[in-house]
Amino acid sequence: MLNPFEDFDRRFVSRLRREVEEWQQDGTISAEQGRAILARYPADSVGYETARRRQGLVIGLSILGAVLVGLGIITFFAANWNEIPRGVKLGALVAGVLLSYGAGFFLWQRLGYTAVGIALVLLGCIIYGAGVHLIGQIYHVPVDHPNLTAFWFLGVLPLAYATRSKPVMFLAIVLFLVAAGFRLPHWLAEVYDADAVILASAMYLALGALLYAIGKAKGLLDEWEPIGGLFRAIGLVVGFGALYLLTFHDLIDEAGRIDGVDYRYWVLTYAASVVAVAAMAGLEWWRARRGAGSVVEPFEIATVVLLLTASHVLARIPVGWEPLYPIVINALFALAALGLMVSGYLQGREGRINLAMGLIALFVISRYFEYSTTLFDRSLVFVGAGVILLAGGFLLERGRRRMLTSMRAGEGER
Amino acid sequence: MKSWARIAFWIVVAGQLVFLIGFIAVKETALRTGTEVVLQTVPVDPRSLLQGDYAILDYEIANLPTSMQDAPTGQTVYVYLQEEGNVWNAMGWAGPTGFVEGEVLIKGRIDRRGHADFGIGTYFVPEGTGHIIENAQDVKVVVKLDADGNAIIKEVLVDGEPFDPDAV
Repeated sequence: MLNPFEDFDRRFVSRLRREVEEWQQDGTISAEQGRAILARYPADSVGYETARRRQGLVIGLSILGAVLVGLGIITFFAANWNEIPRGVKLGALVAGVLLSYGAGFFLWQRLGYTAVGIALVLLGCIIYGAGVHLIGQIYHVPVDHPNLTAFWFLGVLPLAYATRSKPVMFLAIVLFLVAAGFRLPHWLAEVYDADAVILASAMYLALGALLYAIGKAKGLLDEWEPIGGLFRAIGLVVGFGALYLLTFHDLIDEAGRIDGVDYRYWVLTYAASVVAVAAMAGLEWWRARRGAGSVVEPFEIATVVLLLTASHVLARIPVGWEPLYPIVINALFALAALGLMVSGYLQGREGRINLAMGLIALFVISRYFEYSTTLFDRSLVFVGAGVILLAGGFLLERGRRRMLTSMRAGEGER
Repeated sequence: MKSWARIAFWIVVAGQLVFLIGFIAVKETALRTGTEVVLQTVPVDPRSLLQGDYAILDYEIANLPTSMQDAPTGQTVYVYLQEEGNVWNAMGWAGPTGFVEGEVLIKGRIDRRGHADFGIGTYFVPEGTGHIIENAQDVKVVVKLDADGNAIIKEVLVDGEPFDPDAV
């Protein structure tokens, strides 16, 4: 059975098949050359694409099943039925955790049912979290207590590393972000709403950068690359999401002088920022020493430094400079999204290009509703957005043309 | 999965179970020991996605004197309690260094409203029964206090009787 979590080399063959099809359609290679290229790889790899799609469906169904069962269990215990004694509830949860992990481990490791096995391990993680919250419910721990999600996260994280499972790691990362969010009401208790949103965004921007940097570090090792990709993807979404919130000028208009923030907020935000930048710079230095440095990385590091600095300055809000902030943050957001698109193109990462396009579209729509009060304003917004998208399209098109040109030149030399 | 990862897997699972059981043990110990006090409260009932329906309990002893209302949010506060009739009332307040051994006191933190939060502001109830507490004339909470003043809810008294979710 194909293992979706370990057989990464087969993905290359699958991708090559798609590329070969496209090259044939473009006329870059002939059908005979296409067959010759694919013949270099084992015959069973050629049928891999179909198998991979089926496996993708199995993974999707299994994960969905685990999440639904988990939600059902959480909701069942949330109903807090008086008829079920406390001991029975707790016993059922402990048994549920053991059963789910045991069945998952057995299916995955002994019978080779990787997707369903991993899904059951994920279900075990969800039941464990339900258990933490059930105990909180039984002993009336306050509903906004920040430790409950932190306990859940701390239980899931080591399991994510032991299994190297993307779904379990995804849950761990989400729990980390939620646990950090639950701390905010305590850390920002004396801060007004608009200021709290600015500070929360600055913190999540730093955490997004940290996740992204961790993802880059994991990407150095082949066996951790899929997990690294997950970290990078979540880091990008969280970072850009936080930056997006800061682009609204109403937020800045309502902000005041921020004071009375718990020191732990600053410790987490600054520590995440410093570690993220240091890790990215260190990795680039290490790559450069091995002669593997790239054009994209220094720009990436500079962008992260710029965004983090801007958000930290914004979080401090020196009085008198407020009108400048929305302009600067909006410009940074647009540049960062454009940079993401360019880096996606240069590194051949389709997902990044799609994310960047989505971000630019979201940005344009948001600014349209925020600023456009007259037809003139709207025309400016549309023209500006159109130019950005056309520029993106131009870059992509030019890249494809260059690739085709270089491939044809290579063919001519042979 | 490598052999070390298999071992790590089961160690983590065991750790999760130990944590759950330890969490229960800590709470049970707090309930079975310590000083029992009855506090007057005024409740309302919302819902938590993960834990279900609950009543928010607003304690009379949470109202701080004017002299303490300027204290920073999050600061520890001790409220000295004394039994008067069938409830315990606040007889004095002190800051983080005000703990005195041997006194009956409850530990809290100053919240955003300038009140004391004792960590016992939530009482989970079976689904759809929060109105029993909300509509009651008199709601008191039986609380256990450990030696440091940390509180845990033992039960809620609705119009003088222990909360019964089957009551109409």
